[in-house]
Amino acid sequence: MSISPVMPLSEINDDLITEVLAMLTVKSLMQLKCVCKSWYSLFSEPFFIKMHLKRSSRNPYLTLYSRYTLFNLFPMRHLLKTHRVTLDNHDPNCQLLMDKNSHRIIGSCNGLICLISSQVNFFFYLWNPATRSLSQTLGSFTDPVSPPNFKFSFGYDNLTHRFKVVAFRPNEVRVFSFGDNVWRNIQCFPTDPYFYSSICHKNCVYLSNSLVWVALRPNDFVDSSCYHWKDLILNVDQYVIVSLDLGTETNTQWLLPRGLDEVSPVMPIVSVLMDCLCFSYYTKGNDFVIWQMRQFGIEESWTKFLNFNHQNVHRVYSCAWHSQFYPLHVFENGDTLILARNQEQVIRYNKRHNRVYETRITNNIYWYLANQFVESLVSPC
Amino acid sequence: MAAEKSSIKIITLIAADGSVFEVEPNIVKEMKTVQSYIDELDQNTVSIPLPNVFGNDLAMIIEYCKKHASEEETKEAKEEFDFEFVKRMKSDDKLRLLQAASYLNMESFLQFMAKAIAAEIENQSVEFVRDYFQIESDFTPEEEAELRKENEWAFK
Repeated sequence: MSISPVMPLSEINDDLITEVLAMLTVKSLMQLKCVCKSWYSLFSEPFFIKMHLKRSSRNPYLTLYSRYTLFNLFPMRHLLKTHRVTLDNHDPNCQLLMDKNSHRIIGSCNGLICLISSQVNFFFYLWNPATRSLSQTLGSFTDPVSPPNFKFSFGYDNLTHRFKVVAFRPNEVRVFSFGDNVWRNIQCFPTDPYFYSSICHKNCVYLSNSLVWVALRPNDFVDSSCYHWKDLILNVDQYVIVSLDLGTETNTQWLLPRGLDEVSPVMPIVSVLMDCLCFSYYTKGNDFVIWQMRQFGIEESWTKFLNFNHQNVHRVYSCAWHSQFYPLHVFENGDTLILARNQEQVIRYNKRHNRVYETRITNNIYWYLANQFVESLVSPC
Repeated sequence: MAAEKSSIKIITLIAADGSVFEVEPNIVKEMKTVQSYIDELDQNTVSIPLPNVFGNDLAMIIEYCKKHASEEETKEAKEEFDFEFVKRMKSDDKLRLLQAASYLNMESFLQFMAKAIAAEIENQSVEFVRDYFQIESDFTPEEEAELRKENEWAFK
């Protein structure tokens, strides 16, 4: 092997600087655009945006909505250290969601949030809250049914490099692809995803290029027009997971973990923890259980990830019976789980010590709206 | 071949300034550049010149590798070490160690140093960062003013 000559160590090469820059927050990068022309163009290079997104996903945020600030990007890691957090209305991260009455969030993916406006027609926006940029309105269509009964989910297709909105109702599924800006009808779902919450983005998760929902097979003995979860389900065989591959635009149904043998008193939900699909529910004995699908799409890979007794939490808080837990994040060591509980609060559960810690965040956060978010430089336009 | 390699007991690393470090093979595992030397040689003692790394820096890298290769140290102890390791460094040290990590082809140490540098420049002014990397602006004052105005919120 040849030995390279002694080099002076003062000149730092561009690739190394790029490594460093890819670790910065979007806000810092927006400032550092002014450093020089090559940095300015670097920050809009697809390879850099991708590299930054990959680093950024290790440092997730929560999107929080509060009565006063309306929208806030909150670093997840702050929940590890602090017990009491006050959101500062003057913080530049606090942003008003435009015209709050007519916009709803469908979901977020790769740093973009998809908003829907549904006054007369439906139409959509893509919004990057980190770079504060907003697309034009796109994908306008009218639902002739009144009241409108379409449900929406949002994700990114790595195959065509397009963000997509999926709109569905019984016997109809259509996909809108941003960039091509056309709606197309695709194969119907064998079982329609169940929306247990009126908040679109709580019902669906995106991972492995797919959108995933919990669905309920209809039961002959129940009236399908009823709205309450507990009236719709009689046995666990009715649960099914529906997944839509955004690349092939085909759907698949998966069975639930074999160990699941009783109907949960509250609607089970899907979430993404440590890059795996998770399914969580309650047992009648008040255990809150999370199963993890270790290998995406492989039914045999369901593994019990966590099981804690609701009574432990119950003792800490005087809470309503069967509050809903929304798993939000697991920290890298796998021991600390962040859960939103009902509307009121966020809790930190330590798996190793089987203990629950409360984090107080003031400003009346609507915790049931809180969602994972990864900031990025991805342009919504 | 495998038996010969496992018989290597000590690796000698020679820094740019001639200083010599004797380390055990497991310490240099992460240094892919060094590892490729070892794989090419089949002697019991291996001596490797590293003309792009100064002795002081190499000493620090070896200290880092020793800590992280140790099976007795807890995860918390390693994190504490990382924190102190970065804390005692000046900006120049970090940049030199980043370059050394790149030369030695040490993926995770390179990420660690990049992160340390990123933490230092995060939220710093444009001027600070230019100075840090010794970059001359090639924007006209008007262009720069325009850019700052466009992203005014980011400067607050």
